[in-house]
Amino acid sequence: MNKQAATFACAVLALGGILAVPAAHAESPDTEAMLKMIQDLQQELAASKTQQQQTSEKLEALKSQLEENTASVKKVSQETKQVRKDTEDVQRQVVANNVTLASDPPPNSPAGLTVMPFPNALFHMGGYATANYRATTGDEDRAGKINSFLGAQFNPVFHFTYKDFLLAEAELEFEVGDDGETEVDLEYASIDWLATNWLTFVAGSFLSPVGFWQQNLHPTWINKLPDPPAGWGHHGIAPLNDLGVMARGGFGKVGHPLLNYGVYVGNGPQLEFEDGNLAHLGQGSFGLDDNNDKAVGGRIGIVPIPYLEIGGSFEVAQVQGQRNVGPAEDVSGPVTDGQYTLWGVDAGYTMDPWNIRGEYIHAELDSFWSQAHVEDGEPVHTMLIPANEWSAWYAQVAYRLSKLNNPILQNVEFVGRYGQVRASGFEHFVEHAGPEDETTIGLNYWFSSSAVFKSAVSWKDFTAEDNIDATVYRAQFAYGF
Amino acid sequence: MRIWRTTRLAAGCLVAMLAFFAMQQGAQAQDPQQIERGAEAWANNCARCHNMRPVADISPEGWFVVVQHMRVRAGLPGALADDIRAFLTGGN
Repeated sequence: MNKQAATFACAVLALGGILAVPAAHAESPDTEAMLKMIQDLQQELAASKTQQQQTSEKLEALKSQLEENTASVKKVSQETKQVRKDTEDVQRQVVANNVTLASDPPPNSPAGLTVMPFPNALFHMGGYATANYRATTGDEDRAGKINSFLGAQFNPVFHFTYKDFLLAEAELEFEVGDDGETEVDLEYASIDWLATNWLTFVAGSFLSPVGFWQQNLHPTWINKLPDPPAGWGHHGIAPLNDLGVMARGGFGKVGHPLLNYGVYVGNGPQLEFEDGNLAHLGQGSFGLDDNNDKAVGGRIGIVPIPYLEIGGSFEVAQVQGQRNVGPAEDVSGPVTDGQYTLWGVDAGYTMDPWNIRGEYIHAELDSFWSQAHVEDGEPVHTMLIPANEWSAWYAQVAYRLSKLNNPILQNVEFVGRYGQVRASGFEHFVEHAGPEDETTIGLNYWFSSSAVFKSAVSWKDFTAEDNIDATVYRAQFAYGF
Repeated sequence: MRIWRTTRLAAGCLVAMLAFFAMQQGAQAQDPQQIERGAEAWANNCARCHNMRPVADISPEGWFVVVQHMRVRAGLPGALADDIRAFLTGGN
């Protein structure tokens, strides 16, 4: 044991000697370099500590910013949840209202068929604009001026609806007259109550449902030719419009035959004077009836197959003889009514590219007593106006090159129309009815479904003695909007 | 008063006709085929008077009003007009 301790002590002394050798060289150049290295390391350590402190400060700032962002995200998320909840509430209310409409229609709703997706009250303005040119040979009074731009028209049509059961509508006509003055006419103005699926009540001034042309084809962007058929239009034989009430509607379903009807009670036709003479049986909308008898008229149309419609029309009325018209006073003689009866038939086939139509109308007015002349300072007596008959018909064929692949030619349309007007009875009625045979051919170009340039030439052969035959060239640009 | 006899006769015929057709009418409930029916009704009926206007010509609200007007003018049954309206307003 002592031997081992002695050995251990010797080893320690030897190791101490070995370690003492470098210490004996502490003041050498290597030592100075080592000290300098240590100082450098100490400086680097101090710089690292400074950098670490700055990094820690940045981390603290980022942490603080992250906490703020997290708070904002939570706030936005809560707001989004609230908006979603509000939206779902609104959707539930809308669905609940629709279910109520569909299952429990209000009394005035036509069978609750329509779920109103829009505001209750809606407005829409449509209509059409027209520019005309006409050149003619022959009778200037009958066919117009020899060569003229004429009759620019603007016809706005206003529609106001309330829900799905009420419609107020009116058409105005602004027209530049022959004298350059602007003329304004009210074509119609009515309130329509869509009472049931098949019945609508119309009150006010309305286009006459008698015949097909006046009610459905008179807008210039719909009419295939620049002018109406002979016997239709202003001062024609067919009624234009009336003031009263009408019941109308239709029956049928998609893919089945359809039936439409319209029957009205109105003020009816009245006698009109022109150039000092009883000249017309006016068919316009008279604001004041001149007798207590109301006109009754209507039309029934059947659509047995798509694109084919056949209709029949009638009107009956009492026409009041006139007295004390114009400057004449104390007109002597009796005044009586004349029985007026009108009937007509129409048909149309409109399968693209064909558009074929025809109408016939016949009217009779029994004899009656009336003032027939307007004279100033002369004694005037009523006279017996003889019985009158009018009739008119037309047939029209249009063919559009819509089947061609050419984008220009497929907008071209050819039109041909032939018509007759006949009248007998009181000479002034006959003269103003303008009995004639009219042949018209036309060429149209459609810029869109409702914008068309029309050109046409008409040969008018008048049968009355004082009227000279005429050839009329017309051009028209019409735009429906 | 021949006119009133004629009027009464015409009115009687009209009432009888309306009653006959009314009995055959039933409310046509909305269904998934409404737009398809509307497209067919649009093609079959509008061209009886005028060119068919493209759907894009008028806004959905405008079509709602226009169809109401044309229902009255053309004597279209209400259910058929509703089908056309559904087609032109994109099912609204």
